[in-house]
Amino acid sequence: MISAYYLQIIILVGINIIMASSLNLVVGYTGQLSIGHAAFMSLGAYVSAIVTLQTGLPFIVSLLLGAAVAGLFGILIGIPTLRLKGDYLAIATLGFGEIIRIIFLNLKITGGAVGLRGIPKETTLLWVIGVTLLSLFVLQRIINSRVGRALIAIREDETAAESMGINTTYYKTLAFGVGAFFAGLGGGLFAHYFRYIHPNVFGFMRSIEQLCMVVLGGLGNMWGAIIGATALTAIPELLRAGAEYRLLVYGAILVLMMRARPQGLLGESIGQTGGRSLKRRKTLFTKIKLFRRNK
Amino acid sequence: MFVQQLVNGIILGSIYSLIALGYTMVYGIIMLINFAHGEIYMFGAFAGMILVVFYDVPFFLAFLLAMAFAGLVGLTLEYLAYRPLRRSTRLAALISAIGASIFLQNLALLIMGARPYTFPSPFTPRVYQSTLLTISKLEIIILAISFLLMIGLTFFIQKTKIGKAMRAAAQDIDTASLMGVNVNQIISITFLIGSALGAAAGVMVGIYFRTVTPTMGLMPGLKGFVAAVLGGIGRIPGAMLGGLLLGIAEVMAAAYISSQYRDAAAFAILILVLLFKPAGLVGSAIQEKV
Amino acid sequence: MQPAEKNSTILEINEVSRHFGGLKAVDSVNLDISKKEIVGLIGPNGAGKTTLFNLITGHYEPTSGSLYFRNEKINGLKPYKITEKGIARTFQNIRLFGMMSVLDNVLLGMHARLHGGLVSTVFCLPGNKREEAEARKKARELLAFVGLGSKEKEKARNLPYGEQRLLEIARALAAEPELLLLDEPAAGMNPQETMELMKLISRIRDEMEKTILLIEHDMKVVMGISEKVAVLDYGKKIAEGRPSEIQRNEAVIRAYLGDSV
Repeated sequence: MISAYYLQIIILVGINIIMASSLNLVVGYTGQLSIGHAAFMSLGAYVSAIVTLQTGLPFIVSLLLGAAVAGLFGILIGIPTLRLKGDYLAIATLGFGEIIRIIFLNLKITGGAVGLRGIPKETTLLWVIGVTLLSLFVLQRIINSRVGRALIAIREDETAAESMGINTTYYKTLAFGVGAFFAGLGGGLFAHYFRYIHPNVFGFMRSIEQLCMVVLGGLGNMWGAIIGATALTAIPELLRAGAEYRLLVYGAILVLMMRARPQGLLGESIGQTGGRSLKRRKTLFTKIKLFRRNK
Repeated sequence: MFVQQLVNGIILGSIYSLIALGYTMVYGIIMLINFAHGEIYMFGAFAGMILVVFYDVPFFLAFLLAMAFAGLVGLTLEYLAYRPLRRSTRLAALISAIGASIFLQNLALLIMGARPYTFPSPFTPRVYQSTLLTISKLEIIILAISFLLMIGLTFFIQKTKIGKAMRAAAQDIDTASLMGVNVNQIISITFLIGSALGAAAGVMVGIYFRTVTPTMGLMPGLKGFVAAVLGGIGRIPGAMLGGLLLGIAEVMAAAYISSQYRDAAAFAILILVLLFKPAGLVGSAIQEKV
Repeated sequence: MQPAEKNSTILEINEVSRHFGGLKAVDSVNLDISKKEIVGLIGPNGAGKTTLFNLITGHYEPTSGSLYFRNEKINGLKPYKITEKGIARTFQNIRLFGMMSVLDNVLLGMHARLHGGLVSTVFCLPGNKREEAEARKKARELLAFVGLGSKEKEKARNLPYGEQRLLEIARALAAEPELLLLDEPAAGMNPQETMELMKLISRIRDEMEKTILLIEHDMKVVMGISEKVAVLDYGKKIAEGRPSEIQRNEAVIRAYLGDSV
């Protein structure tokens, strides 16, 4: 038997693989920078936990309900915000993430600032492995389809994508919704393993951590997300020895990694990098020409 | 009641303005969200507190030294974490900024520990009262310093040669470079000034709430950034206005809606501005060329 | 050349203007294009040719005037809707999906003609697989048609310049358009490649029965393959007619050479 300590690490790795690979669909494949992914995780966690606690429905039902609500919020938040590009989209997702966290901090049904306790322990190793593999399979299928092609085209050149007959708003929202759905699944598993959830567990830093997993592994690469999630979950745990140095090292790794290999471990450099211009690009990956409209 | 809240909002807002200036100046020139700016603010607060509490340095001297120290931290940060990435994708630069932010916060945690430090106010606690308004000496000093710094910055940007070069670089850094502006120097000065202003905000918040902690930079950092976006990121007067508006809105939301949702109010305003006036309140539209 | 029949107008540009602030990039332009016609659009730099393309494809909305495609008003429609209706384009400053393979680029061109959605993809419905296989077959045929048959696996951004232009054409054809807009297809090509390109454009009209509107600076190309040429200058249409007429037109000569002539 594996000890409880290692079991917990493996379960966290599985949940983080779901989180990173679903975020990868949004950021890595569709090119839409989201720094509020943890908010969807919290939606899945709270909804599934509350359903389990209040109705006693089977785990699978509450898990799916949590994911569905998260997916729905992904679509609802995506429709207005995905008109924004690059940094502005990132800020808007951050804002929504914070608002959701603050609302959870103040609702009665979520336990407010005390958190939600006594969630039944339903998540087992088998559940985590099963849901992780299924998520990866579905995401991989989406990427290798007409839908996935359209998403990558939006990342590469949104204007050209629209000229191909791709309804870019629809596909961006779709990616956001699917990403949020799987984040909700991850949240449901999380809540039913740790049995206690608090809004601050799903705060801004959690979103950043998930983004870092994707970026370190390599944007737009499924194996990258898997490796990134595994490395960034396991390494800090193994660094327990020097716990106080953990996050310090983590921050330094991010800075150094961006200097040495900005495309991540497995990623190819997306878009045109190393242009002559000192001005950063308007979009995240591709270079587009801009002009200021003269009044 | 209303006038009191308005004044409280302006006090808070002037702090946000100072933080927002650092974000906006950097973004204007290199289009990078300097995520570590909140940590610079925290470093400034710690520097001020340490000088005053442990070394008995007079407050105003400590204030200036804290600004200088944070300016140097900002310079180093730019040199180590951002300059090597100047020609890479924006995402890479953003991640590097996030990494720097995590690093600096944990560096402070490691050195100072997690417990909060008390930063006693150096001023005699005096309160001025009238029928409409109650205001303390400390609050008046905070307001005065904030506005003096903002006026000073405006003068510097408008009148000095370096200020003009900064404006040119913010317009078009490539052209500015061709016209003989030393771009590296301008970016360094931008980080120096932005960080110093952030430190000023940090020290003032420190004496206002009488505490400094290693995690104190996170929320004001985000809020300062919201204020910069609110005013139209990249625009210096926009950051000042955005900070004041955000401060007033937050205090009003806490007073008239619910104090639990004061942070949510800030982010809700952010989203509304992004959706309906994405270039900010004083920004101008940019259109993509096909 | 056949005389244009009354009913054969496929695109009708009616008093279309587009202003950017004080600049009239396109100013009250009228132009009719008939089915299976090759129309050249010429004019000095900044005359408004690409802006007119962007108006037809929906990237810009006209300030005034209207556009009819197959007797249906299309102004105000989004670019993806216009592609669905049967207008495809290439870009002056090549806009391929650089990280994707040559074949994927053509498959993306087919996007509007395929149906595989999220549900059929996730649940592996059989129709989805069949459609994908047929699409691949057709994409390969198109690549062979433009002469890129052996390059399907390469990344689009690794192709030489001339081949990138051909790939843009194949990608536009994949949308099965009735009207094809080509924005400076010969730019950056050597004389040999340009000759091949002219043959290809003629074949697209003759074998695939497409209507073509093309912007081109190379007068040999424009005059060689167009049945009709329209000339823009400062946003206004200053002439329209057969190539031979345009070459003698004084207003056109003045626009190109200045008032000194």
